[in-house]
Amino acid sequence: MGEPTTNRGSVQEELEKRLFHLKTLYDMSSGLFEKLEINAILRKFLLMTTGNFGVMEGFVFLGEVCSGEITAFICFGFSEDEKSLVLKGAKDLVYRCSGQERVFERGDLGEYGTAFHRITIAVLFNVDDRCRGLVCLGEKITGERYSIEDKDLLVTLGNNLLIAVRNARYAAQLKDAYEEVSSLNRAKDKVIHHLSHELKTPLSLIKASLTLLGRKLAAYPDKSWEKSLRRALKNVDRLMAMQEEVDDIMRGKDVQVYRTLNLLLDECSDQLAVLAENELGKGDVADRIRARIEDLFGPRDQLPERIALNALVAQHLKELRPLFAHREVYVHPRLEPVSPVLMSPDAMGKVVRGLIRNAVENTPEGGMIDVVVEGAQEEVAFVVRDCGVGITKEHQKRIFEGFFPTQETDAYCSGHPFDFNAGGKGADLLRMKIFSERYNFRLQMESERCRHIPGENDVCPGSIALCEHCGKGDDCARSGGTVFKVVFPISEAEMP
Amino acid sequence: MEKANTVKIEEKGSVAVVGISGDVTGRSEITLRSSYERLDPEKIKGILLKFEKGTYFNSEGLKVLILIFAEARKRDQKIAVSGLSAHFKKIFGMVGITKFAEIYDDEGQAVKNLESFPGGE
Repeated sequence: MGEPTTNRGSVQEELEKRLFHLKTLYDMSSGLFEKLEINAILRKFLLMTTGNFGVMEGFVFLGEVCSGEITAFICFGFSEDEKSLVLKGAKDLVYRCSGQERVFERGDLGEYGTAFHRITIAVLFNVDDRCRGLVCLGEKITGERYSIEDKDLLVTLGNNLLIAVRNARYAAQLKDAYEEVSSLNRAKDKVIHHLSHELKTPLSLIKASLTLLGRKLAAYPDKSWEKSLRRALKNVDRLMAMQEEVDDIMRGKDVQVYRTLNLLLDECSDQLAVLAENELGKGDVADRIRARIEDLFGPRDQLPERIALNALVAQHLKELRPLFAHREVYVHPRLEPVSPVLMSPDAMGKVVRGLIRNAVENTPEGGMIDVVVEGAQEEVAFVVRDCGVGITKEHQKRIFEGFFPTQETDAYCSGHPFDFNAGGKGADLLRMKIFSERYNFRLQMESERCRHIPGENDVCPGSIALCEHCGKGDDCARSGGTVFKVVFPISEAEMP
Repeated sequence: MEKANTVKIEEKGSVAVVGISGDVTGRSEITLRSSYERLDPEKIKGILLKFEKGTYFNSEGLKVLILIFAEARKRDQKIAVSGLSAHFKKIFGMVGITKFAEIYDDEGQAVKNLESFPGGE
C-alpha cells in the first residue's frame, strides 16, 4: 500500500518540476526579448537559468571569433580572482572549439583551468559567423546531477539566449548605421547649404554681367551673338532657380548676410547717392542697391496670411498661361470660392506654380489638366490632375525625396520650362514637402502610370496624335495620370 | 499581470519579520535587496520572510532569493520563510533554497525558532 503512495508522490513532484521548468522556458522566451542591451540580456538569462536549476555559480561569455575580443561576460558566485581565471578558461574553450555547438560535462572541462573545476555543465553555441557564446553552470545546490532532461532544457534555454543576443546585435548594428547615416546627412546638409549659399552671389554677378554685355553689344550691327547670349541667360536662370529651390530646402534661419549688407547700406547710403548723382546723374542708386540686396539676401520666410486660394490660383494660372502657350495642353480650372487659408503667399505661389508646371511638363500635346480649388467642411483643397504619363509604383515611393527625376536624365528634352518632359532636378516636390511641414498642410499624390508605357524606360511620344494606342484625348486621359492634392485645414474661426 | 512588491519590516529584538506582498521575480531584486540591506547585521540575526498567500515565484525571483540568502549566511544570519503554497514549498526544496532557509507555516513558530538561533535572544 505504501509503494503506490510514494510513486504518486514522486510523479506529482516530477509534474510540478516540469511545470516549473516550462514556466521558466515561457518566462525566458518572453523576458529576454524585452531587452536590447546585451549585458542585460545575459544577466536575465543567468538569473533565470541558475534560479531554475538551483545553482550558485554560473557565467555566460560572448566573444568575437576574428578579433578575439570579449563581447560580454556575466557571472555569479565567483570571487574577483576567480573571475579572471574563469574568463581565461572561457576564452580558451571558445576559441579552441571554434565552430562546434555542444554540451560539455565536468569531465571535459578540467583542462580549462582550476576555476573550471567548479563548473559542472557547459553549452557552447554560435551566435553568428563572428560571435560565439558559452554558458556554464556549477553544481546544483541540492547536489543532484544534471539529468538528461536538464541538459535538454539548458540547450533550449540557450537557444532562446542565442536569438535574443542575435536580435540585440542586429539592433546595435542598426543603431550604429542610423547614427552614421544621420551624421553623414548632417554633413551633407552643411555642404549643400554652404555650396548653395556660395553659388548665389556669383550667379547673380554672371547674370548681371551677361545683361550688361547684351546692352553693350546691342550697339553693334552684327546680331549673331544674340542666340548665344539668350542661351547663356536661360541657363543662368535655370541655375538660379535650382539654387533657389535648394536654398528653400536647406535654408536655416541665418539672415546674417542680409543684415550686414543692409547695415552697411544704411551707413553709407548718403555717400552713395551723392556719388551716383555726380558720376551717373542718377539719384536712386541706393534704393536700387537696397532692392537688389532685398531680392538676393532678404528673408523669405513670410508670416502666414489669410489667402483666398481660388483668387490666388486664378492669378497664378493667368500669369503662367503665356509661358506654356506654345503647348497644346488644355487646362480646365474649377475654382470654387472657399474659406481663406493661413499660408505664406510666397510659399503658396511656389506650390501652385510648381504643381501646374509639373502637370504641363508631364502631359503630352493634346492632353488635359484639371486645376481645382474646392472646400470641404474643415478643409480646403487645391488639386492638380493631369492626364499625363503617370509615375511608376517604384518611383512614387521616392517622388518627394528630392533630386529624383522620374525619367532618365538623357531622356529629357531641351530643358525649356513647360515643354513636355522638360524635366528638372526633382527638387520642386521636395521643396513642397518641406513647405507642407513648415506651414502645416498635407501634400498627397496618387498616380497611375500610363498602361501603354508601364516600364520606367518606356517613352511617351509626347503627343496624343503620335501615340499608336490613343486616338484622342479621352483615350489618353483614361490610360493614366497623376493627381496632386494640397489640403489645408481651416481654423474654426474661418469655418462657414 | 505581475503584482508589484511592497515590503513591510517589523523588528522583534534580534529577529526581523519582513512582510512581502506581490510576485517575486527579477523585478523584485532591487526591492528585496534594499530591504535586506536595511537590516543591521550586527543586531538582526534572524530574518523571517513572510510572503502573502498565493505569492508567485519565477526562476529569476528564486535566484534573487538564493543570492540574498547566501549573503545572509556569510553574515551569520538565519533565514526562515512562511506563506508558501504547497507547490512552491516543493520548488524551494527542488532548487535547494531549503539548504539556506527553513520553511514554516506558522509565523509564531518561525520567530520563536529564529530567536533561539545562536546570536539571537
